[in-house]
Amino acid sequence: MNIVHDIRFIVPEIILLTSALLVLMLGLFVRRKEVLGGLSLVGIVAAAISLASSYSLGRTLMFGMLVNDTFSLFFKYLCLLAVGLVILISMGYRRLAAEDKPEYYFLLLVMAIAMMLAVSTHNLLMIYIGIEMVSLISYILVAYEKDSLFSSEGALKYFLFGSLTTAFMVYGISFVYGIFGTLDLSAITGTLHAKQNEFIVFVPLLLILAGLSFKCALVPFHMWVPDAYQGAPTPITALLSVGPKAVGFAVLMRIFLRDVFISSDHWIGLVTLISIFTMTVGNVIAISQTNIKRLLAYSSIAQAGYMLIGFVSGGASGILGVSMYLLIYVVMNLGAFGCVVLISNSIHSDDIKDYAGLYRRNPLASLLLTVFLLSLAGIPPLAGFVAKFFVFAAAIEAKQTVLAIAGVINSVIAVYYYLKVIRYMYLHEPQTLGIERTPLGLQAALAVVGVGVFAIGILPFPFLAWIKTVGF
Amino acid sequence: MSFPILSLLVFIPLAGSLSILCVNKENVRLIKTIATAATAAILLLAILLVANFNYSNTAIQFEENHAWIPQINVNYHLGIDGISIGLIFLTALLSFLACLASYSINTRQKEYFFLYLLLTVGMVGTFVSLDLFLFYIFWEIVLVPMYFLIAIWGGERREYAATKFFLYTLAGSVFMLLGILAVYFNSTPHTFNILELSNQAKPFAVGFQILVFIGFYLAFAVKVPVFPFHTWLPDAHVEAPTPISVLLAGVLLKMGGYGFMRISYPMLTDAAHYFAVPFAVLGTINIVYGALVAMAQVDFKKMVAYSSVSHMGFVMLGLASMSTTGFNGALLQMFNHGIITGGMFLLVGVIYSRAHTRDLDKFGGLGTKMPLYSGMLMVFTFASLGLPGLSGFVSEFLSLLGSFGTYKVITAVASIGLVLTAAYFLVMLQRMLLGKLNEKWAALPDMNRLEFVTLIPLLVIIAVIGVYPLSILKYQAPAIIELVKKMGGVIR
Repeated sequence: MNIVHDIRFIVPEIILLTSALLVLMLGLFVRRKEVLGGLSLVGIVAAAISLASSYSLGRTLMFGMLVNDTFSLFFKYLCLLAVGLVILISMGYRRLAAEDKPEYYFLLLVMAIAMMLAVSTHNLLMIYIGIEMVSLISYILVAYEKDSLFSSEGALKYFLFGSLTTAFMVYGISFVYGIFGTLDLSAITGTLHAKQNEFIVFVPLLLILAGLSFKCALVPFHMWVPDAYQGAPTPITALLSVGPKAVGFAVLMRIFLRDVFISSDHWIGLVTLISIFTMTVGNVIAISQTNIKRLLAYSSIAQAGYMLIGFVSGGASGILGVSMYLLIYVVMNLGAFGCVVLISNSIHSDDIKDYAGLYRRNPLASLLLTVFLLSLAGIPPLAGFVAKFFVFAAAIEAKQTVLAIAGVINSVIAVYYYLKVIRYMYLHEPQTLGIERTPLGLQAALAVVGVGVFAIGILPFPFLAWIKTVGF
Repeated sequence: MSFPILSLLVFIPLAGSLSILCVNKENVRLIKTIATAATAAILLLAILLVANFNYSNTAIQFEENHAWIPQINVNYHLGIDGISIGLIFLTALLSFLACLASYSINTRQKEYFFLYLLLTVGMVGTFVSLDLFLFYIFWEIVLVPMYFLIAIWGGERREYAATKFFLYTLAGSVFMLLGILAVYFNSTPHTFNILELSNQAKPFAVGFQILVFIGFYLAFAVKVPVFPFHTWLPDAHVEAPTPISVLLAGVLLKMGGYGFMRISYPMLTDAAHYFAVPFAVLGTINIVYGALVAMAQVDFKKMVAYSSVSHMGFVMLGLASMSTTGFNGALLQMFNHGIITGGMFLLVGVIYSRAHTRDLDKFGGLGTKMPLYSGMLMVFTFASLGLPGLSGFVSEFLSLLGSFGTYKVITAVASIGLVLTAAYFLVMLQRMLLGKLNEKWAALPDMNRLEFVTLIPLLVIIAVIGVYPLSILKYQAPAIIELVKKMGGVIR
């Protein structure tokens, strides 16, 4: 257990931290703040490159506080992908004041570190610290538009809800420590398995589930989502919709899918219910939304419900399904939000009504948004179909027929509101004309995710081969 | 034959649609040329297929099989046999003719022809794929272009009709997805290969078969459409622009019937027998109910749409019979309905583009004013109502003959539909062509040359099949016998 030796395995995090501090300090001297976005991106790319060499099979690091397995590796890449794309989108976001940019990019980079820490540990304390770091940064970022009331309102709701559920989670963790005398998941798995039907274990795990449900925006812990999503600067909304969710699901899987722990019927029944409610509530409420960010907020709630299908199904195919879904979801949801940023740059509105006739004003943006929405709806041959396919496959394999049926019915309901946006863009005539130039960063982000949605949809096998190796 | 003719059939329209994306939208001529060339190419390929097809061989022909997603055993697997060849030819022919009819589209042509070719990809792909995963993808690809084609270029209530079409069809097909997954996980080794699943050493348990059959049924029944899932059809048909109505009626409805014959029946044989009586009853409801509703219509296009519901009932009835005669009738009825109703919709389009109304009460006496049109309309109507000597009669007769051996009463009820069909079509002819000429239409020009030429191939096929049914039956009969044998049905 040599801490100096271990340092070479956390090089990516160190790179990120260095570039974060660099961005913060350079912000004082550099006049052209756009450079900072580029610099942060370089940091992300460098971290991603060094990630490949910093991997060693199944090793625990830093006195067992971090773990270096294929599971963490996959999720670290996912976090870097998400933050990298959000940085690109932010570079094209017009409403961000120049003097706020250094702290903004600093926070994004630190967020990446926090997410990477949270997904690469099986110590409950470390999980808590990682998640709390993610939350705190999220609160600040949601409130980033200082003169917007929506932004402050969203952040406040987010903060209050977040603190409450975090308290639940800490309470649950303290129970775990009281019962088992350790916070290391790998050490308590065997004991947990033996005691899984006992009430004493049920309570703390329920509390932890509540805390994580907040991060993943599962019903009934979803109330903060629409307001926070609407109020936050759109790139942050994009990040919130994918980043914390990926972290939340990674941790959920790490805690609950170890061995056969979740096989008890109570658990399966409970999480099945959560899944069905999450899908249904998200989809049904999304139908009546008039603001694109709120619509995507409810859609992202529903998407989490689909991921839960894979989670309930469990086993190797469940983990595969959720991981695949998360990868694809990051790509397509960031694509949708990227388009929203692009469109709001020229129409200065997030109202779906103002999307009328967009196909004339900006044919490419409407085409891309259509592709991303159809992908979210799960229409083949786009990536979203592959995502749904694998979670439904996991459900059928695990004989969770009810859940699978609820899932497919929900994906039909969802099509209705995705089509609503598409209808406005293509079937209504525009009020005004005029297109603004698309910022370069945004173009790059959209190109990456646009290609990704088709590539994963049509040729899923390399991604599948990669995710098949994921395990803890 | 190593020449990948089926892949070309699928990818030529795709290449066409992608190249249309790259053309400037002002350059309408080039766009139309690309679309016409692509559809003409697949028509030629389809003719080539028919010419090279060995109909005495019941095995899959022109097979192509490549690994696609090896982790879950998904293959890019194409091939055709006697069941699919007719429908592929039908698809290629109607795609080409409807493309000619699309010349009258005068707004947003670039998007139109892009989506049109994309639709063609999905339709052709559905009929050639032999892998359930691939089949599902093509099946779903049809949805999105069709949605836009109705929603942008359709009539007054186009948004409603298009959304309804999309939701109905998707709601059905997601259950098919669950069915596909269920058969995959219950087969050993796990496979999506339709042929392997149909020829398993140990068939699935009956209870399981029934569940899965219902899943597939929901998808196929919405497409056919079988009562009570038919309500999207009149809306979609009426609102869609003429060429799209032609494809909807001519090809999309066939995807459902084809699904039964390719997937549900051979793969879930016990369940198919279990559901035979409901099939017969539903088919009869379709026939009689569709005809009654068609009789009540004053909108010409809506009447033709409901006549489709009625005609597709014969497919269900033929399928229920579990006999070679009935199956032959069902498959031939799909082909004939595609040709006849495709022609009918083109004829509706002709009159609508001139008069801008489809209200049957507003016409009358057109027989003297538009002789060419009247002649065509009469021939297609007679074919549709099953006049012996024209193609519609052959297939309806075979369906009834097949089912009569099994369900005497049901078939008797279904034959009432024939009388009703004759009634509403003859009344339609009377309202349109006979009587006093409405002065408003005194200046209506007759069909132009393009419209006339578009209908000629359909007319020829109707006449040839009507007089010499073996010309097409010989392609499908051996495959049908094979299917009936596998299902333990009656060979007569």
